[in-house]
Amino acid sequence: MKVKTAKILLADDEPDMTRVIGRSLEVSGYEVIIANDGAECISKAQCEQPDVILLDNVMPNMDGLTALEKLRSSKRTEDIPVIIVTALADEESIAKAINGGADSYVVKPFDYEMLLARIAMALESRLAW
Amino acid sequence: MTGVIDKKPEVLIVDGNPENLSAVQEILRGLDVEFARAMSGQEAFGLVSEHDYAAAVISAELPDMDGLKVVEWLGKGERNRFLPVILVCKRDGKRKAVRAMKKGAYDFMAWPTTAEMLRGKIRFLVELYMQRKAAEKHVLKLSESMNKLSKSHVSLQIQTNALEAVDDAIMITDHRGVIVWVNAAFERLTGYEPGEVIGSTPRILQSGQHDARFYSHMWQTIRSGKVWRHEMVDRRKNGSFFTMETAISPICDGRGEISHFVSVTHDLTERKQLEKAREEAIAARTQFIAMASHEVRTPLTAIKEGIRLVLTEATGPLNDDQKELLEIARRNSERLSRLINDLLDFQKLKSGKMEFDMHQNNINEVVLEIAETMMPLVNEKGLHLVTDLDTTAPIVAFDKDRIQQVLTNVISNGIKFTKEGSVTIRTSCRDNTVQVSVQDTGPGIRGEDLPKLFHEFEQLAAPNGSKMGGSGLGLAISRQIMKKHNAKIWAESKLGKGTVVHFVLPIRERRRKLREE
Repeated sequence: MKVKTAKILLADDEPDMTRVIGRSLEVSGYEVIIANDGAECISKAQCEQPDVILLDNVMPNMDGLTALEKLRSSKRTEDIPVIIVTALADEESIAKAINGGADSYVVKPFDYEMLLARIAMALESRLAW
Repeated sequence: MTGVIDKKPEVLIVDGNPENLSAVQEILRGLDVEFARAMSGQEAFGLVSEHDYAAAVISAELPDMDGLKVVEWLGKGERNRFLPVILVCKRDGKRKAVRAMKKGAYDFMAWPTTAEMLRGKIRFLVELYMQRKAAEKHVLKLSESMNKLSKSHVSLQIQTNALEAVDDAIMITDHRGVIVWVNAAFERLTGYEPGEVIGSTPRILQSGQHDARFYSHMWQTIRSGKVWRHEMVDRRKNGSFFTMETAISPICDGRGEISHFVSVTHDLTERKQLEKAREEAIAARTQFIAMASHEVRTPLTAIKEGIRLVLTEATGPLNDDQKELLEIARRNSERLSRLINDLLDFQKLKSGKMEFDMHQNNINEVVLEIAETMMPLVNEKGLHLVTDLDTTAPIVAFDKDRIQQVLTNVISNGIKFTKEGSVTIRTSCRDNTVQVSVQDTGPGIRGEDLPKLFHEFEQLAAPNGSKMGGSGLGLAISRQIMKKHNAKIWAESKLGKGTVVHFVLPIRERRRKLREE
């Protein structure tokens, strides 16, 4: 039951994406917070202290990788697991995300079951701390 | 002709009376000549038409004709036209003698004659003949060498014209590098007229894009007698740069010393521009596909997830009709995802950006894994999936994920096109390769269509004319993947009997890899 009440911050500039994925995650039992760009993601991460962040890597204002860097450089957010959501399946951009401190990644269009598995993994790693 | 002069000159004596013949010959005996004798006009004609004579002594009275006739005939003929004839007349033959002179006789003498006089005249004529022959030989030699000269002049002219006509710029310098000749293409390429560059050095063409070492290496090479070949940039008269490929060769004189250098320069500007345009086009295409697929992927994610969520009935119950329609939407969104992935894969393969992870793998295990995942699809269509595996197949090096992709493509094609019967997957070892064959009992492919099978975006119509869903990239991707494995993929088919797709993985590759490791 502990896992089901976890709080997920969903950062994506596409309202349709945040609406649909957010709704699915709620149905799966998570508490969902939405951020529409990188800057909002950082401020919400600071005050809401989510258990996992789903971070789209292409966004206006501040892209995912920059946001990741900021998250990792702040004491309050450095330990929050981040899953990068990317539409770029090339090894280079994925390697960049992992090197930048992301815990894992999913490639759009992803399988929902796959996303759930990644989230569960991230939460477990958090509990292990 | 040259042999003539080496022979002794011959004197022809014509007289019906053998005593006279002998008498004349007797008179001339002291001369260094040979004699030819004729006893009639006819006989004389025969000899004269076949031999050259230095002089002739002809009797005015011949048994068959007048001696004058012989003189006259000689004047008309080709051979011996200039044969000097001394006509021998009777003492009272003065009138005939005058006519003979008019007809072209050289001289006449009354018979019997003074031996000294006849001998003197003949000696003179023989001397003249010898001189004429010597002169003729000389003229012949002269004209032969004239001929040779004019021939070499012609070939020289051809060579010059050819150098002028060549489309590559040609420049000849002396051994110090001073320009002595350039062709028309040189002028077209550099903008310099011959008059402007002859006498100066090729330095006027230097673009400043190569350092001193570059040029000193060039000089070292050509001075050592070798050809120097390089791609380089020069400057035109108008200041613009051009890229070219140039080859400079030393030219040696008769003593083997370098007297000149010749450079042949091929303009690469156009080729460079084409190459650049091509690279730009490829980069633009890669970027376009990456961008387009990215733009498609995000909305596709929302579509897929939206449909999935509603289908789980988490948002409320669905009736059967709604479920069926949403199922269709879901299936098609899956198909669109696969297409996008195929497009990206294909693009990566084509641009060489796809990385391959080669490891030792058991092909039979991979086949069984894929067969397992295919079972639902096979059962759904009521087909049989048969595996016929060669257990002696050795471990070979391949990228497991990619070979799984190839197998999935080939097997799902087989299932897709087969209405009833089976799809058989076979492995076997032959000629240093492990071969995998996927055989279906589908409608088969026309022979002329087989080569198109592995082309990108090529979807063959089914024999009934209908098209099957798919990106048309699956087999093209498979072919590219096999290419990266240094392996082959091909198909055999018979209309109405089904299709077999084979691919082979080289065993030797594995040994080499192992050694490297």
